[in-house]
Amino acid sequence: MSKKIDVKVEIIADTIVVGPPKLTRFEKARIIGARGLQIALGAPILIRIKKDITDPIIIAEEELMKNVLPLTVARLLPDGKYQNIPLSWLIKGV
Amino acid sequence: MAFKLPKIIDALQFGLLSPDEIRKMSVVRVITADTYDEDGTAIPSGLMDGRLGTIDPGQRCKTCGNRVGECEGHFGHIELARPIVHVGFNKKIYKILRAICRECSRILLTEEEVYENKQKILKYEKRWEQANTDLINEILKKAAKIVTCPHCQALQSKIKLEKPTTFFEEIKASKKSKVTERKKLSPSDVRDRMERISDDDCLLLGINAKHARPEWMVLTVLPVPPVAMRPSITLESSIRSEDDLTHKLVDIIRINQRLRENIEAGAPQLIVEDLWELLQYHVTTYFNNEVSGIPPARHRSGRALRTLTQRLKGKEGRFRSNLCGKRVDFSSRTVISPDPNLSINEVGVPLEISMQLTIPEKVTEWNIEELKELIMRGPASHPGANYIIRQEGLRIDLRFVKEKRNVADSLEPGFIVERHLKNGDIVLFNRQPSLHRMSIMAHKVKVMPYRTFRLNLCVCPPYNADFDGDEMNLHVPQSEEAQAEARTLMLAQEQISSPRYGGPLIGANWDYISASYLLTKKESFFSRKEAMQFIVSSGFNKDLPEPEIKEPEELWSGKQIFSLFIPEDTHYTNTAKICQKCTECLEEKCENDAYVTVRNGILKTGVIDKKAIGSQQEGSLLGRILIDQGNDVAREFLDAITKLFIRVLSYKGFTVGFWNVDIPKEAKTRIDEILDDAEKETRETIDAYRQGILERLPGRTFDETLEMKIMEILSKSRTTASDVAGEYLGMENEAVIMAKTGARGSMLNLGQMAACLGQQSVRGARIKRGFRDRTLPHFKPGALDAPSRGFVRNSFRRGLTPIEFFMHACGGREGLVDTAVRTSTSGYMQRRLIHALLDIKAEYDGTVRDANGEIIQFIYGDDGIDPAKSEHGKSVNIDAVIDRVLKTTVEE
Repeated sequence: MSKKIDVKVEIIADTIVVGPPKLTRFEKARIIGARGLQIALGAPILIRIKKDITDPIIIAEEELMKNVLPLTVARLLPDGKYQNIPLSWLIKGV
Repeated sequence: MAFKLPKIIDALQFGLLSPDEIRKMSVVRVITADTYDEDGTAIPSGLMDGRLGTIDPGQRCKTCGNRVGECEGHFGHIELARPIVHVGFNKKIYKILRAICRECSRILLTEEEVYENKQKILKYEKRWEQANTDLINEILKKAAKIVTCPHCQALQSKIKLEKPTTFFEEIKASKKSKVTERKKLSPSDVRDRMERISDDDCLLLGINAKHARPEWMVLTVLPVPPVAMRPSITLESSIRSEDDLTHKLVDIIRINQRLRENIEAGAPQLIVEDLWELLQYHVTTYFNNEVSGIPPARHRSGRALRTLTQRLKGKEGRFRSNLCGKRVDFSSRTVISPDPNLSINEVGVPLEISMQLTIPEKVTEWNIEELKELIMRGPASHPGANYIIRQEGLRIDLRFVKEKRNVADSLEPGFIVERHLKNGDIVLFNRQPSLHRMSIMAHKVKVMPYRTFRLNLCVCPPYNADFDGDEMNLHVPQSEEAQAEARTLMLAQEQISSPRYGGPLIGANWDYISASYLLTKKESFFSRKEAMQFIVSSGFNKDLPEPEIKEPEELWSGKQIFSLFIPEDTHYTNTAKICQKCTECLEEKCENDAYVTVRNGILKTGVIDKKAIGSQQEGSLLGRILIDQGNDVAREFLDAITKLFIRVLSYKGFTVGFWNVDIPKEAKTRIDEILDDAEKETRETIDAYRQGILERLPGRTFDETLEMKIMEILSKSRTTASDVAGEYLGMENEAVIMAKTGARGSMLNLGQMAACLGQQSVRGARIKRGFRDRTLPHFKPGALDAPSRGFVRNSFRRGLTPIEFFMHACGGREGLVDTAVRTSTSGYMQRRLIHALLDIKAEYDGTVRDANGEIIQFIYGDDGIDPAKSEHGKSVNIDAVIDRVLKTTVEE
């Protein structure tokens, strides 16, 4: 049995070195979920949006597409190394 | 209710309960076999003693002082008058008894062997963190063969286990004598022997003496489970009905007391032994009431009792039914029915269901007005709400609120409103058996009248659903995070492409295919009015192109109408399903219009049928659009064309009837001739066989040769008969349209209806079972000719003779049995396969690993390609690229 690695080491780089150059669909789902929760709890919306759209998930998706979310994606490798990637880097790749 | 985690678990250790431990955890020694006295109070030291916990609401537990919910119950114990063998360990006890000396209880191995094996076991355990069961079994087997003890030189005897719990010893007078004396080993004897085993020897027997001494497998004290585990129920007639376990414990205590009294009174040995055995029976059935060799203990009504093992084991047991599977809230189930007007992303939810299922919405200053309106509407009218949860966690049931105005006004940010399901909410939709990930997809709600779930016909293949009474389940994700995941990962349009092969699993079916053929075939033209109607019905507003025919009146071809819906920049070349597979393909000039070419979103030639828009088709037009233009475009395309096709089909009219399989007289004569010839030929072959002049095929017996020849002759005759019928059934025949375009049925089915049903088979051979030497008494014994062995000469249209009908039923029955058997075995096979693969995952570094982090593959699938996004398993479809480049540049 292999032991789980607890030590985490951050990789600092100017480009995306961990994982694919664009946002994976799982990351997309995770971000929309997190942002959707914020909006549902009453966070102010960062973009202009039509009055009739009220679903927080739809608003969050819209915000992601407009690249206004100041979020960071932490990509963790199985050996414990990880890279913090600004969301804007990943959106550019899409 | 707040969830309390009392301790963090970092290890689990399994072991046996020692008698001391049982006494220590016990709060009461149970000695009375009764439960309640006349006035309904629990008898102290009885099975329902108040100290064992409480099950009555309002009552406090006598041990811990808590009420029903908080008190989890406390164990009691029974002191057994004599030791009793635990059935669950009978095999282990047997193995140990055989491996140890009957005099000194040492393991029957020399000191050197003991030392050597001990080292091996310890080394293995250190390396692998588990016991070396193989080595231990070997040791046990080896020790069982030793005749004299290496330690005390005592002569060993053979031990026999008479199932389930009785041990016998076959004692020999001397080493050589053949006469054996059979002596029963009482549980006391067994326990005595095992008590003497040293802790060091236990290691070699596969036991960790720290957690489980071998003698603990023979019980002297029996734990009594708390009442919470065996609650009694009160019927309406206020008669108490006890749990099966309580019944069994009553039996045990009663016999135990009798046994103790008899021993104390000095009763004869025989009586004591009888009672002892009876106690052993009761304790055995208490643990497991399905032990082979003894009759199961029964209830007064004759029903077998459901005791400890039965509670855990099997499909309805605690593990599979309560721990691996749980019933959930926010779910519903009803019959499904089709609705072609829905998008594939939608599901029709009955109004009644939508008013029961709720989504919690937090009140913020943005949505407060909207939610107030919902509260005003209440739980009884549709877009309403059922509950309000205030900040401090208080739940208000809106059903019992008199003044809704007051509640609505008290609403402030931080409250949670459980509102009804409404259009656009995301839900999970599922049909069992959930064999692959497309068995659960997310859909958007569309609230509808009536009481069935409605779904688009294109999503039938992934669910494997039809509408002959199928039911489906619907689940409502509650948190925003769950809703976001469902929407981005599980939405039906994200699942169009199957990860099994890179092509669409969701696509047009059945009538859609027939309609697409009728619309796009060469000779179909429509007036302005008709064309407009078709387009409007698709839900889109598109301008008509220049009509293909301008004089004498403006007419648009079906191909033009269809082209309106193909996304721009789509290029596609393929043969259609109706392709005749000519030796030399004329390509664009195909006479049957079976060469489909789409240039820049315009259908130039060919008809659209199953190969272009069908589900589970590789290299289809739909697949092309899906890969080139994405899920959204593919979904819009599919939704639009299916609505268009429905309109086209109901405008043109399409039906199948008796006339579709009716063939002219001359065809019938030709078919009769073919069949007569075939029957004659079989008779000749049989004659040749009887005379022994039939030429044997290599590697076959005469019988096999005859069977093969006959089968060949008959199947050939059926095919030719079908082909003859096919000649008279043209493309104007609806049944033929369905068969040729791939909508439903095949030409073989049509041949069976119009020409000849053909040979019926059981187990892959002609029907030969039934009466002695013949299948039915209508034939001569030994008959081998076609009709007597299940050849059906008639067609379904003409009708079967009684004999033919019987033969057909034989073959039909086999089919039914086969499907029943196949589904169960393949289902279990799949379950085991998925269980082995369920935790593997592709990591960010591209490796595929299991839950322990062990690498399974260095890169997924050895090429890193997601099959669902691939071109039929490959990363690039070079043919499509070449086709696109060549054909488009030439035209410009």
